[in-house]
Amino acid sequence: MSDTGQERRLVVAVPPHIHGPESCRSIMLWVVGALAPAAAWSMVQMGTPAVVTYAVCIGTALASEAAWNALAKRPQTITDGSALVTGLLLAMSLPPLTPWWISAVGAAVAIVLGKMVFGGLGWNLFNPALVGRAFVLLSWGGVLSKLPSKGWYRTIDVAGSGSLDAISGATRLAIAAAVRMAKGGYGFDLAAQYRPLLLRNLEGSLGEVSAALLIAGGLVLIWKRIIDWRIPVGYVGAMALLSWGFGSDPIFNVLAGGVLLGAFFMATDYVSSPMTRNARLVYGIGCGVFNAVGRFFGSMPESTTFAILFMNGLAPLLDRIFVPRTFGWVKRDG
Amino acid sequence: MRVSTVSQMALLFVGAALINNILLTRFIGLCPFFGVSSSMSTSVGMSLAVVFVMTLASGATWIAWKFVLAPLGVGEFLYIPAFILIIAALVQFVEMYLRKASPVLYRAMGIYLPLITTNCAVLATATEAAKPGFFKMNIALGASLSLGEALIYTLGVSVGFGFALLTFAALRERLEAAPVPESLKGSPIAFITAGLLSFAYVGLAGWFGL
Repeated sequence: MSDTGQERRLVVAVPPHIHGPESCRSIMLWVVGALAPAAAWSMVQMGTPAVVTYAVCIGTALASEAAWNALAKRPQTITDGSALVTGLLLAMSLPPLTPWWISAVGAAVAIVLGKMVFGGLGWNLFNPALVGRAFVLLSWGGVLSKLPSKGWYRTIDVAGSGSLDAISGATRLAIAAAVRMAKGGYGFDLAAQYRPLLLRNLEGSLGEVSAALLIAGGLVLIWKRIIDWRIPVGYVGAMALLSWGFGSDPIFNVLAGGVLLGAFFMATDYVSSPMTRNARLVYGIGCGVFNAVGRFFGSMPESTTFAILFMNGLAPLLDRIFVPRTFGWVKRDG
Repeated sequence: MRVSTVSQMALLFVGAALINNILLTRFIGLCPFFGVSSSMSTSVGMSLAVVFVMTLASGATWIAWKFVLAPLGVGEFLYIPAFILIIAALVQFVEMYLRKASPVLYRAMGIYLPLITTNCAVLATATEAAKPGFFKMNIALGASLSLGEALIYTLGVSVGFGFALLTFAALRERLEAAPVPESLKGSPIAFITAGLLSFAYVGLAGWFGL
């Protein structure tokens, strides 16, 4: 993958020259592997619509990358696996009943506007999957938010739900927000939601079906040192701490919505996250703070997409602020 | 909304700086946004100059509105020329003063002062501070602002301007080395980047009801 379409330059690197076994493709395949159990489980639970959404997102992502490279007369890059990851992540951020053409537009925008116009993999300033998701959310937010009423989603059985019938079919996060607005009426027990959120949650996007599988996949990536622990720890930590501070249940707020998918798989994108360690920690915390404040005080039920895009935008600035100390040099004149 | 407590003042500031960011949610003042953001050092100078000029200008125009234009009943049709005249004259005097009195400060932001004298962002913010609700830039603003509120509001707007400008400049510096397709180099990719950055600011809409 050394030839990215630029002219070849003489590279002078300082020693030590230690060759790592990882390649771009092997890392991407590890990410796909870590997401696979959660994706497979969501297909089992949601059936055909989920399979269609996955197929359309991944297929369009690969096709638009191939088409762009062909049109721009650049070397073909679809085998590096990054378009596969982008398509997969986009599908997991969408509800299963998303109309196929919305999925397709999202995937095409993700690849073309999110990545290829900047020069391809390694140069995108924002996470491509989130660019695609933000685009369809802003364009067809009404369509996406009305999807659950089409009857696919089941009513959540909550003990003493009573008046919840009015919003049955909504995500647990939306119900929690409605309950919060109503000052804790309805008897919606957040702690009772841990188990369905961890194992089998049919209300929400494809990536929210099982939080347990997402956590397992994320931990594998941290263990393999493919992602830096600072970003998910900062993200999830800030989210838990703030939601506790806002008087809600921290565990529920971490498990529900897009936090886990975002913290482990989206915010950790190499290209659009900061490079230095301290900057990564601050970046992760920033994502969590934005997400928590957006969830509790914003106008939308969830703000993971915008939290990560916002911090993607800040990443270069954070890199400039948190420059690591250079050892072996003496500061000139203080 | 009367700003009477610290938390309300903080909300006024945050609402002006981030939630209703003048560059990325209102798209006012885009010429300096694209003009100077190609390097970090010019962006820093421009940000300082904007904070300085905006705050000064809306303080002066607020006084002119409150004590001259509004009482005489000529404000509604005279405020644009009056405000432009006040701002331009004020900035010119400040520039002359700075050149003699503080060469360091003048070197940091001197050349940007005349550039933003007649900038739309400065005029819009001064107008909004004097006659709140005119541009619907911030729904938290009530029917009128006190001088202190107007200054906090303007400080928020200008700090938000600087924040967005520095963010964008850092992004564009990273783009310098990128193999952007020939036809998209320069302004086109800058516009695409600004568009994507403003996606993120959409997520701030409606925070705290602002």
